Amino acid sequence: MSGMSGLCLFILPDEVRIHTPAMVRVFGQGRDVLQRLLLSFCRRRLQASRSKDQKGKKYMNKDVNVRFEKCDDPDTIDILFSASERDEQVEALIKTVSEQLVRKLHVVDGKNQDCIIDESEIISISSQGKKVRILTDSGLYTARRSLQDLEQMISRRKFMRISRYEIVNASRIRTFDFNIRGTLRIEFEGGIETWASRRYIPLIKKHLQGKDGAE
Amino acid sequence: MKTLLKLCGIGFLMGVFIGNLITVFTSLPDGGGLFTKRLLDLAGSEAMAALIQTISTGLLGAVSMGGVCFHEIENKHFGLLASAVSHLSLILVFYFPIAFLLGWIASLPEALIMLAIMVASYFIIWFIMFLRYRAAVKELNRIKESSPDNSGNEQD
Repeated sequence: MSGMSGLCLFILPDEVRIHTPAMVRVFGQGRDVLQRLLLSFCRRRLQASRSKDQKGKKYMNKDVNVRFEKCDDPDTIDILFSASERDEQVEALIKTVSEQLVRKLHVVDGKNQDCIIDESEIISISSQGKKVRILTDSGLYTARRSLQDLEQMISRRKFMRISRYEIVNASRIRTFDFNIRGTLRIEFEGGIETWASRRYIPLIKKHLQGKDGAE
Repeated sequence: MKTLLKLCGIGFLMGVFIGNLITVFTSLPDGGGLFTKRLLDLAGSEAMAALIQTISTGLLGAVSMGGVCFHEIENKHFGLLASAVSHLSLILVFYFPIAFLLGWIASLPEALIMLAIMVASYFIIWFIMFLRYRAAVKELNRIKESSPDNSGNEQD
């Protein structure tokens, strides 16, 4: 089998040709069937050989065109990947672009050490006096910036204000609850809870509906 | 603070206006007038009665309007119920002494009737607001449930 693949790879790269006089002599009348089998095998090998470069990394074999289209929404940039299929090359491009889109924040941890967190880790950002607390999956941090500054830095699509003192990650909200005491409780994944201002209900609604210009 | 002062100012003017109307209606059994008989007896003169009535009703109006700021306070311990109870309590604390002073109410049964009317009114207001907010929050949950982010197909 390795000999056949060697033959095929020798014949390649651009077009698969198996009409060699030696093969006709060896296989006689059954050559059409064998040719089809070989052709199929060679095509697979060709695809495999093209998809890897010498270092074993994925090889981008499709042409990539970049073009700009103007849209009406001043707050949004839409990135669309258009391809015949969502293959490895497309996945790699999506991953590369997505990595660039992740916003990172400089914060201070409990040991007063500077560190960087992804905004996707954030559950809520709240101000308590002069301190701005950032609650994440990995713990509690403080920020050196004001709540207003942070609000400008983070994704408007993901985050929304729920009171004068707090911004939350909308995608982390599990449920809203209005109890008999008349407080609007927000429960996040993992059972973490906070309280929103009643006056922000219309704004929260707009955000969830995507009507606040954030989507 | 600015909002509070603004509300108190508006409340003062409204209080004087409404207070005079109440006085006119209250004094109808005594022949009608701008002051009740009780207030005139206490004040000694119409000028003093006018001054007392203006300050008292203005103060009541200012407190009533300023008390709206209770609804601005919002945390996990101070919800709609606490706001409503605080506002009502503040109004009652000022209303009854002023009402007795100005002669709007003259006896304990009258005071109890007024108390019942005010509590009932406030309960109705609170209940309507509660139902409105509850419906709005229910709507939030419905939107949240139906949003694409909630179905595991997050686009980003």
